[in-house]
Amino acid sequence: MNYKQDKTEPFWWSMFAAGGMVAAMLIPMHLFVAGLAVPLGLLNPDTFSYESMREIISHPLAKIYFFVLIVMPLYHAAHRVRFSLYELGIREFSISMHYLCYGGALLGTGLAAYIFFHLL
Amino acid sequence: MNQPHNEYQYDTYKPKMSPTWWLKSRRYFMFMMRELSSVFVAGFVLLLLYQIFLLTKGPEVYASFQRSLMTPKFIAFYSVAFVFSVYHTFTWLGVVGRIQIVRIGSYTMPPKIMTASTFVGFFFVSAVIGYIFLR
Amino acid sequence: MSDKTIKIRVTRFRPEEEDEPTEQVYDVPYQDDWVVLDALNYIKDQVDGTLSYRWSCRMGVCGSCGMMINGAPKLTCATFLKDYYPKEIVIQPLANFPIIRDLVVDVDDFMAKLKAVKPWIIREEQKPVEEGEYLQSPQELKDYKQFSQCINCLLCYSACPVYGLEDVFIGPAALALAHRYNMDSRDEGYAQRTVIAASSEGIWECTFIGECSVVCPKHVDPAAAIQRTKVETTNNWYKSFLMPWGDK
Repeated sequence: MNYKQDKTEPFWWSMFAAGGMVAAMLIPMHLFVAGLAVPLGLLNPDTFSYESMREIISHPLAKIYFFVLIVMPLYHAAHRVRFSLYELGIREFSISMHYLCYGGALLGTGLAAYIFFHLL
Repeated sequence: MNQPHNEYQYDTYKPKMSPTWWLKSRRYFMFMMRELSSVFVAGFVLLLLYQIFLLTKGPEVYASFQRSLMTPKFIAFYSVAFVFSVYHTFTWLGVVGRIQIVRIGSYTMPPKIMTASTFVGFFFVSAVIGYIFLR
Repeated sequence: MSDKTIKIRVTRFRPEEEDEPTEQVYDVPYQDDWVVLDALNYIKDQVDGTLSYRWSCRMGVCGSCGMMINGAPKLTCATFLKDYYPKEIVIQPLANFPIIRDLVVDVDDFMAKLKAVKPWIIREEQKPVEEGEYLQSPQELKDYKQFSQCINCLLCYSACPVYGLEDVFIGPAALALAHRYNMDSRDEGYAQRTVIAASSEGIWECTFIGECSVVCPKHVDPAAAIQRTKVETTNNWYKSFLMPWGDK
């Protein structure tokens, strides 16, 4: 067996690891605040009103924070989906799985960058 | 000693592994759930991105989407996604202590302390986020 | 001797007679200090001498007697009948390996992979004997000791679904041993081992299911060894771009 060191995998793994850390630390609370706090009556509905959200999101630090919050978990999910499909036996398209999964994450990154730094 | 020997040829039977291997034990199943949690997290962040995108579409469009988020379908999604996101956090932070060895000079932090600190960090960060949005 | 017996259901495979494995059930006397290996030896000695299986030290240090017991990979010398009695015990050959005969599996694949990771001290220059021993502090020993406890029993390969699905995977034990030598202060072979360990058939096949560490009878924690190798390889990868003047 001729083994060759994989020179691209460390990059994707580091994106997976960073995304996993972002998701682990930040997502549960953001999810709770975004989706469950209002139905549970814990939130003033005006907090997420158009005016207050536009004000929050206009701040460049807020843009960067939410950009990271949204983009990093996409790489985490892309990596996990890629390997899980492999483990479920969906393996024939092993080359295009790379493009499909990470491509999707890159697309999401581009979309988020466009929205945060161009539209807003 | 240095004479070449004939390799004894033998037949073997290799059982095939089923693609439903992950249903065979509870631990394997929980592993698949851990992997699935990343999909729900991704779903949530894309929903968040969409919400933020709608801020560029004007107050009426944004407000009507905000109202639709309070419907049972979305609440069901958020509840399931929340459970999965917490499961991700616990399984992720639960192993950090085993992987990252922290050494300050000659002191090696015991893995359990490392794990406990990451959880303290998680609860602290969550409290900060909660304070910012829920006050 | 009491009259209690326990049923042992054993996989049989005689390639000269059959194309597929079958099962045979034996009644074995139950004693509450017996392990599964004792039951197998009773079968071989008293009931059916044709049953084939591996064992040696009978005390959990040689790694020979690994088998599937009620679907879980275990050492038969370390698994007590009393934890299953009065229910039937099902013994199958170690999962994810080709079966040669009855409970004996072909481990050549692992042997090749173990050799590939070069599990020995590699030095550019050997220290001459006159200069004395390599000195190692207790902390330096602690860095790799856990991973040196591997007895090559291959329970981890049986537990690993990735190895089961795709046997090009170098596997938990071999990668844990690569890590053991990389962490040894006497060793200078990190670069050579990394070519193999950090290949796409090595650490990058692993998705940290973690079952390998759960079943390991010597608490080696191969899963941790692999993840640490991923972290180190990734750090070095970034360093090679951001600090190309570095020496590693």
